[in-house]
Amino acid sequence: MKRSYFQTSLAVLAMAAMTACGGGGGSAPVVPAAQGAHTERSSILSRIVGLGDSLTAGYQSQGFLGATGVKNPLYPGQQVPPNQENGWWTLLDEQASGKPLDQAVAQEYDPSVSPLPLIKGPGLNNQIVPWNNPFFPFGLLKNGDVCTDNNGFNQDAYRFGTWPRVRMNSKSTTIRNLGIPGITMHEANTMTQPQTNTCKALPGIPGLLNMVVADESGVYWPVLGNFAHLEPKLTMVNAAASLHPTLATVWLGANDVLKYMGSGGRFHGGDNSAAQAADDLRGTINAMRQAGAKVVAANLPNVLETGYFQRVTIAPNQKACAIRTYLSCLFSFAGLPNSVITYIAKKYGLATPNGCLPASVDKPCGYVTLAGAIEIIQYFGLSGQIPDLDCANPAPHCKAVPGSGLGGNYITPEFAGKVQSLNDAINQGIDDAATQTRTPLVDVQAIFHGIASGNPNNPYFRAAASINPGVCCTLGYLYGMLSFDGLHPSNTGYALIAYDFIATINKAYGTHIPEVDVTAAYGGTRCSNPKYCFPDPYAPPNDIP
Amino acid sequence: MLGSLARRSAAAAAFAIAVSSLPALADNGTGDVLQNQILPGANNAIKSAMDKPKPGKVAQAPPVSQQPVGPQIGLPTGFTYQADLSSAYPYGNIGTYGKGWLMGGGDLSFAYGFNSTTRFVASMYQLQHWPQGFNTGTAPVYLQGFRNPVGCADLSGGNACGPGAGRNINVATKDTFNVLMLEKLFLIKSDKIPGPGEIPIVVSPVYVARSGLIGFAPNHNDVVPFTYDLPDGPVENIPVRTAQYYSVAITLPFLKTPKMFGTFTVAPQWLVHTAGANSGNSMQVGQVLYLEYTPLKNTTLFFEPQSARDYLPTDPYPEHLIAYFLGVSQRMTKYAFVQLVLNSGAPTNLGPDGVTGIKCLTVQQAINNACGLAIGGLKATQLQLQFGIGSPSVFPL
Repeated sequence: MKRSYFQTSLAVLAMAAMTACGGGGGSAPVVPAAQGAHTERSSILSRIVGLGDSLTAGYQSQGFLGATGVKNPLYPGQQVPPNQENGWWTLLDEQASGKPLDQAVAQEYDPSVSPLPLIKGPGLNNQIVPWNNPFFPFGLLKNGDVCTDNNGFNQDAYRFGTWPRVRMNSKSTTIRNLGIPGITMHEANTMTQPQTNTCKALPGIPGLLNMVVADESGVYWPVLGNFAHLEPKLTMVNAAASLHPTLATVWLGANDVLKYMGSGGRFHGGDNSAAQAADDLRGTINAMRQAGAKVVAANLPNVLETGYFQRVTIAPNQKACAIRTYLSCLFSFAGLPNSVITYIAKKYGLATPNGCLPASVDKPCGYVTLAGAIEIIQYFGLSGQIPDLDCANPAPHCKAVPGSGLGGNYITPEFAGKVQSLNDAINQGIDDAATQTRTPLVDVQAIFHGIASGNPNNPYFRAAASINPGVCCTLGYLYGMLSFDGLHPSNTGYALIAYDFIATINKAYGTHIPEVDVTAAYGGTRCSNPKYCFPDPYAPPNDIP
Repeated sequence: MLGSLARRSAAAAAFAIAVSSLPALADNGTGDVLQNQILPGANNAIKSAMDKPKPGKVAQAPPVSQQPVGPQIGLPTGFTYQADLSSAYPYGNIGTYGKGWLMGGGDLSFAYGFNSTTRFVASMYQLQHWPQGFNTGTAPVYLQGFRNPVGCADLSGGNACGPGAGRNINVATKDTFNVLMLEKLFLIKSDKIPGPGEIPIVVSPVYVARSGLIGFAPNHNDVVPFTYDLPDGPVENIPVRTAQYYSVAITLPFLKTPKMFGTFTVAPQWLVHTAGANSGNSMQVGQVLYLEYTPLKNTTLFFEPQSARDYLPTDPYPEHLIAYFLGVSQRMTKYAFVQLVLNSGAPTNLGPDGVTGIKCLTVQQAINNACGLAIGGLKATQLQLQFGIGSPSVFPL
């Protein structure tokens, strides 16, 4: 019964995503809204350039896609939602364009003038899409070997000679969003070429490094390919400087935390102290200033408060599932008993008998990652058994390496404390650099921490929850703020971030960028063209409990 | 006579041997040259000059402990030579791969003394070392873009860590120094100088051309991929052990008793030209203190702290090398000696990354063993064993 509901509800969610029919609904938001773009455009808004990672790129659901009309092979008749045009940077650019929103939005989709490095279908990496499957509501867009899928679409992105194939606007001279999914703070300043030129696993290199280098290597050229004339000094920062931006947005550091987390603490290549983060961010900010730009920076949310991390504490009630992410909520949908959670928590040392505080260094929680949760659900659904999360490929009697699942499948409380500590250190470094350089800072950490608090008195939670009261939006997994991968924001989440970027820019630089209408982003009513503006595909359906 | 010569020869031999062992020990570059080539001759000349009988005292029988009067004062005249072979055992955290006696170097020196105050020396000496800075156990691996090492490489051919696991990088280094030097002995005389009323000083203009061989260098030379700017690079192929120096060493005594002897040397130096990562070429001043004790006529103990300068193509700034040499030398026969020296030293101005590492521009380079190495700022501790022969004028008995 519950399994059936799980399938049904997520199927509905999936349908909403594809048909732009679900999820929407517009109750009066707390967030103030403006319907049009600014008409008296400030000079500092004439050339906005974005430096960042997947968050600036607009990445969602483990995919990077700009094209519309891409068919979802797992759900006949449905389409895969593009994400680049729904990121916060895109919304900022639209709002600051000084043009009517219909025109501003259309330009972001138009390969001939778009500031986005628009990716053709089926998109890079492997987007999580709804699946018309009675046993599981999600699936991956690309089946089998993602490197050879669609005649090696992903592989072509790794090499300089072949990257144009993956771009809709490969000869563009208008690219201004330089967000590279997977890039770290230091890489933004120094990375002059992809770490690898092959999509395939690297022989002789441990899996960890394969994982670490794969992300940015497969999107480096598709984003920076138009700046190849800067070689051998081509970096994201140098490419941005070459554009002589009037306003530069800098939002980096999430991958320094995520790569450490995802590797179970074995990867130390990213910035790992406040001093290193501050040093790198200062370098980026100063480079932008020297290029003539005003700069606005942002700090990081607490990654452990996102939906990717499923707490092993049993949710006290269904209402709690809408506030925070509990493994029991997902298992409840999937029809798995809570005893499975108890077993998992005990086996991998995830329990916190004396209670825990999310995003706490001193009293951290234990988690099963979304990847681990899906693995459990799929394995249990097929075999009725619980998989060994320390096996590289779970199977009966598989050879487990104790602890190897840390980071990938589960997060122990002790490790969660370390992840949060690094998260805090990076944020401290960002704050230090912003203070030292007198750079306006968007406090994304406060926004998401406020939403995660579930506290009705918190203005951020109140604003998010008021988008569609009783339905949307919170940071609970599948409750509207995040896309299917549990890490990257939904259209609504990105709109909320854009809202705060705009507020910070207006306050710091005296501009009058009209605020983004978050509720309209949720409902898909920011523009009149349904091809471009559709209800948030990641928002929960109206009948969600 | 024989005894006095023996003492002098032992001391001189000690100098020569200590000097020749120094470079292998701490890779002191110009400091090596100071020790191996400049100090022996200078010390010898100074000691000889200070042993010169004072006017009016020639007829007196010297006390037993006093240095007897030698037949030759100052620098040796005529043609002299010296040759030796040496080997060293490295200490410190150098892993198991490099742990063992290093293949020794060969030294050759030819000199012609025009008179007792002027001599020309041409020499070549070699030394091997296994730098602790690149310690053959494991070395951190950097990838471009990452702030901190992404892992480490097992340089011993094992699988201790990765990426680069299983790769065997032979970083054994053999340096060759070619030295051209003019030695000039001056006697500064003054009634205000106590004792003999004069002080001998040796001034030695020197030209040094050094080169090297790195074990894993593909062309049997010292050209290897190198980066000095960790973690970002870039990686370049440069001759990491090749440099040329000019130097002018000035050696003067500060201690002379029948059993003890001490000198101080200052040696301003300049690169002939900058190379690689060198950022400038301002004058660098090396300093060497030398103390010896001769308890027996064929045995000499010596201690030699030094602050030398090295400026290789891998160095953005000159290395300030603080090192010491503690040794004992024993003359075995008229023409042969053996010497044992413990040496340890390290630069004081290491970079923020600890200087050493492997830097790969891409992961593929890590696979293909084409990464750059960062070797600057070597630290080494070694025990040096040396066997040598020399003409009596260089190693007087």
